[in-house]
Amino acid sequence: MIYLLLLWTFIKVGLFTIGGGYAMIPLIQQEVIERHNWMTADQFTEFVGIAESTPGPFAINIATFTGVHVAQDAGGSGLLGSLCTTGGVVLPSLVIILLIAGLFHYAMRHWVARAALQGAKPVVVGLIGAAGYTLLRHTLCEGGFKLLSTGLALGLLGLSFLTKLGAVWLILLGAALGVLCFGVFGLQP
Amino acid sequence: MSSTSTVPLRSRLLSLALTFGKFGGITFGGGYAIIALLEEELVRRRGWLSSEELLDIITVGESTPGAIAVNTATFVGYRLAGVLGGVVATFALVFPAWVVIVLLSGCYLVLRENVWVASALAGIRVAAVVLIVRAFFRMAKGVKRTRLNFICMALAFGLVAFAGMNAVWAVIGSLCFGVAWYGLRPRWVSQQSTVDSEQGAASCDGQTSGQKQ
Repeated sequence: MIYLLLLWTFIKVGLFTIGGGYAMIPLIQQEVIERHNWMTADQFTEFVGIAESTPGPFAINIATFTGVHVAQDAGGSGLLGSLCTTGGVVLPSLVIILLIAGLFHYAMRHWVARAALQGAKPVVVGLIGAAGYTLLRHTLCEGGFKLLSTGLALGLLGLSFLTKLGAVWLILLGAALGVLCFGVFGLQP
Repeated sequence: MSSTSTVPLRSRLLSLALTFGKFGGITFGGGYAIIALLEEELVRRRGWLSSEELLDIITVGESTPGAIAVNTATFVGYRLAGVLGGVVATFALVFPAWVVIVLLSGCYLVLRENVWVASALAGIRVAAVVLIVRAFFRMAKGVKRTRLNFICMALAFGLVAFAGMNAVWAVIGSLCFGVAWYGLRPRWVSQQSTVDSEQGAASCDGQTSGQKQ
């Protein structure tokens, strides 16, 4: 049952994401690419780019995208699939926040919660680094080292550090450069 | 809460739906982008929350599981109109994004074989990876520079990137480690050295809140 599997997978993703949007990437990446083989690393990276450049919370966009794609690939309804993933990713938030807000107003000030978060912070950063490393290696080195893409990546990284360019503009710039280099000039990636 | 109790529930729910629907439709990237809008709309324009309340809500939104924007919406909705408010605000936030992506993913599946779209997507892949790397550096900046934090970060990176460890277990492990190392250990140590345990707890809380700033 693909829908139940999607729902369960994204409940897990929602539950173990600490620190918002980007912290979700390593979890989804592992579940969707490595564990279930639902999509390729290329497709996932494209989804991340599209999710960043469309309105709405990043987490919701990437969950919806995955749901539509996976359910359609399995011969089911993309709409229903996206309801499962988006609902799944929101459900833990909804339940936990309503519990915390209702039952223990100051649960987050409790020392156990604080200590746990203090321990999780560096690990979440490390996980994002791992996801970045895995996808970087895939995007730039899969099927031979891609010189032009590496140059583009370094250029965009430098630009984003120097100018604080917003994510949407960075993605649009990437798309424009892609069309120019790979489409118009027909260069090798 | 007192400033909103005079407004009937139905119109409060409607306002929540419209406000968060708007946020879901116009913000990019979620999380912190939404917080600025919330401050503008709910604190300054409507006066439904004090900025202190909003800060409380954001802290909870950051430190509970899930997307920060979703957590914040749920909590604001709850504060203003109870459980139903939480559900309405969350649903309104998610709905526009969901519609946009469902429509867009239809186009994506049809168009991705097109030569021009494929070359644009190749560029988008590079930019997306750059964004993740940038997020890593930005978030790393927010972590306190201690040797222990560095070891934890490197360990999580290595185990997940090279040894194929499940990220969920890394998160669970880090939460448990945090409780043991930052929570229980100082309490145990302060009990050992026969210092009043109340004082130990207070100093630990002071230390963690200092790092939050």
